[in-house]
Amino acid sequence: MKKLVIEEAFLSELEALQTVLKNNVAGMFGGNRQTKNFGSSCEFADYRDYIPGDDITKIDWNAYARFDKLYQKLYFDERQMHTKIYIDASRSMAHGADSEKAEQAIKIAAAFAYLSVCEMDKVSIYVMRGGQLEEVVSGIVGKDSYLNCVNKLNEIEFDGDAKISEAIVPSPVGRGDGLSIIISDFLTDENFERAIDRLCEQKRDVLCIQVLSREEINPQMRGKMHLFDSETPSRFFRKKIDQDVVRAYKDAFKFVVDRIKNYCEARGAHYLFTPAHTPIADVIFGNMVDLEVLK
Amino acid sequence: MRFLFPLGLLGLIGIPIVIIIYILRNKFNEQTVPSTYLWELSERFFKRRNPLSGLTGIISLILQILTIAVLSLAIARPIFVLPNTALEYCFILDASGSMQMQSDRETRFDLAKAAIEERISDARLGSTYTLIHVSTETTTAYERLSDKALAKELLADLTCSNGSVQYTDSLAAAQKYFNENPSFAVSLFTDKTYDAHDNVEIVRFGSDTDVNYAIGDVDGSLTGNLLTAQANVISYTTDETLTVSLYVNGKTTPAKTADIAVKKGEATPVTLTANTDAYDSFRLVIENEDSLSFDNEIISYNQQSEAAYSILIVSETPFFLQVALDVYTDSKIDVIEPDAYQNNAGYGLYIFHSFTPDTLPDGAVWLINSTKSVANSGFSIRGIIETDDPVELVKSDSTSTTTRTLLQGINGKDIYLSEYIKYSGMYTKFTTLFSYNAHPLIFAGVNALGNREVVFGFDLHKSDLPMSTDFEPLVCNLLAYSCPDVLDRTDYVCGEDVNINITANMKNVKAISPDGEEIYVDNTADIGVLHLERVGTYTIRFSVSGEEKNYLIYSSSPDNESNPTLKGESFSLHGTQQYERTDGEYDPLLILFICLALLFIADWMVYCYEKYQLR
Repeated sequence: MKKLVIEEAFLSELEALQTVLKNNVAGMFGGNRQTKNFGSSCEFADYRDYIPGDDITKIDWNAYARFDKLYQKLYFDERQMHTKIYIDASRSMAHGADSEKAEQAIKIAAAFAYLSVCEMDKVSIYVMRGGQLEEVVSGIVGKDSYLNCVNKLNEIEFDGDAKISEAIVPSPVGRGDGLSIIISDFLTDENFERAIDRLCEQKRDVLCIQVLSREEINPQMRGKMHLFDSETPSRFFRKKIDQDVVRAYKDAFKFVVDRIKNYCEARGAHYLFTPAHTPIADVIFGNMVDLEVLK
Repeated sequence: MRFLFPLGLLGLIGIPIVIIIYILRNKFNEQTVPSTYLWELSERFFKRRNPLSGLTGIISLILQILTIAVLSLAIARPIFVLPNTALEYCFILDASGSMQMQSDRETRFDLAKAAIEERISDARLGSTYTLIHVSTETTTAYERLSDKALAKELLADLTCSNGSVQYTDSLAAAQKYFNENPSFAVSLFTDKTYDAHDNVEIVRFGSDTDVNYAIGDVDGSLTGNLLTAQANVISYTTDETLTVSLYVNGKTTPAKTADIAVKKGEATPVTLTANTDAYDSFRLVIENEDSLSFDNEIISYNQQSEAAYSILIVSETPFFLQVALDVYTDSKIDVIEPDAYQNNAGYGLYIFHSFTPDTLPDGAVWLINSTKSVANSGFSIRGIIETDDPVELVKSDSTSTTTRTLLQGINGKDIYLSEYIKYSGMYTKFTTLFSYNAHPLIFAGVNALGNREVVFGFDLHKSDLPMSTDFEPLVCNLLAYSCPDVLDRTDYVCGEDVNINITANMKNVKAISPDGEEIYVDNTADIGVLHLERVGTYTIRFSVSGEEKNYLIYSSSPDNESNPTLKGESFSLHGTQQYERTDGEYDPLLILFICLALLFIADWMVYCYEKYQLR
């Protein structure tokens, strides 16, 4: 796998973007992320009648002069979001000479992490290996921390299998405090829907990114093939691959993509399918903006 | 069916090899993929299989087997026999001078060759081709040749002559083939018309309207310093005004030009004069353009100076000889006493009378009454016989050419001698002209030095030969024999034979044709023959005593070849034409190659269908 290289120009361009959250953020710490609750930020929200005991500095004296009644000014609250990125570290992500899926997954994770730290949010990056979550980066805040930690992404080893639900469901996913991103090829029998449900239940914004290689999208192999699964060698597919089989494969591919997409949409989660060879700039500035995950 | 290269069928061995390869390669390829999940899931979406898909492998195999089979066949070159489809062709190609007339920048000869080539191309395989080339000599270029390519190649090499041709030999040859097979298709490609041409197809080239002029019958004389050149000009198809120019001594600007009104088909004399002190040659040219260029000019050469030679007589009593020689030659004659002879050189003819030199000179020699043997003379002397009664010389009755030539105009009777020399050891072949009692007394031949030699075995003064009427013609004949003119004349017609008188000291006799071709002439005989095949100036070159001599002659176009509308005589074959064809052949090579190409294309389509389509 090629080493992750973050270009400064690309990062500068990323700073112009901002993540869009659907759910109200309920972080513990103050931050830049405006919530629907009233708090102590500078941004005016509403008026209410003054109740004795309220902070008299927030009384609107102009309104008192006009209406001869005391009104208390209310302001929005601002909280810090915690972005959690889950990367599928199974062997299927790194299969092939270029490991383009893994590379693309890391690039996307790095980009989102930078976006978050630019908004003064906290970022954690995990890899899913077997049924476990392994922490790669935990709770970093600020660009300096990001730059210190981002190289750890290069050290991720893609091996074995990954069970998305088993890894995410038991973990402390937080509640209503930001965005959860799952980056995987989602080529598994495993019931990954439970993980999406779990995250949605916890009122987190969920983004599922499915990364697939060229050969997976449009297989070129023909003839009598004995295909072995890279994650489970005992698992194989043996058939003469011709146009009919390929046609069935493409139907199955469409089925899988549609299933994830529909499942996510039904739960208010975002879903993005991206070929591994798509330039990261196109993914971030194109697909993500179109999907209204970023603005 | 037969095969030209049966070994090509060994290529069929490739078929089982392909089958074996197909069986060996028809196994599953193992490959690891990121996940088999989608492949396994595809089973649920798999609908009925396109029946063609299952056959692609076997179709490819079948196509490859067919390809090998067809390729092997193509290499083996199968030839199919098609009964009664081929013919035996006999092409007679007229290569006479008139076939060089041009129409639209192509000569009639080229058109005829193109027509023959086309017929060969169109003929059914298995046909045979015989080509008779009627040039100055009739030759059979090829006989019953079945190879089309070779037939065309040999046809392309044929050239056209400048002269007239005789059709007798070609007709005889065609008759021979026709007798062997009355179905022989005989075609004559010519520019002449024939009223009678039974069993022969006449393919005529040229048009009655082709314009041609010619010049001939040249003559010239120099009177004082006025050269008068005469010739006849003719226009064959139209009344015309012809511009005739006279060029003298090879100059490129005409000395005189005249316009001559000529009526169609009438030979019109033209006389042009020019002032010159002497001339080597003059050239008369018709300047008008026509369809045949080489009959528009004629050259006359003057070679009197080349023929001159001198004579030395060594005798105390040269009177008879001197008188006789003066009659027949303008050559310079020197007479010296025997005592004054010091091996004098530089003469064309040496006459020794009653004197024997120590060595023979390099030149023609007459030994009259030589009483001593001399080296290289070709004979030795046994003795001198004196007779009581005069004996009569007997003229040779040999019919050999030399004898007849040397005794031409000689009666040979009543010539008596009172004394003669008896010779022996005649180791050179001499031609005996007169003898007595089987002893040769006047004979001629070539001595060991290679020079012509005439021997008189008696003293002229002891015979009545000098007083005989035969003496002067005999001297004349012997003079012509000893010092012959190399050429009789300088104006010839293409197709004629030039007789070159070969003297013994002539070396490296050759002729250079107008094309620059060197033609070596046989100089072992007394007369070398040169056959003129081109129109133009021939140079006859030889060396005498190390000195190179050149004689120029002009070979002019034959009158009849200048006529663009000449009618030929009958060209008919005896017999009844039949139309039985022989078995032809069909070579399916082209079809096999087309099949091969189609099979390759089909195989590629199947391959692409498997590999690339619907991706």
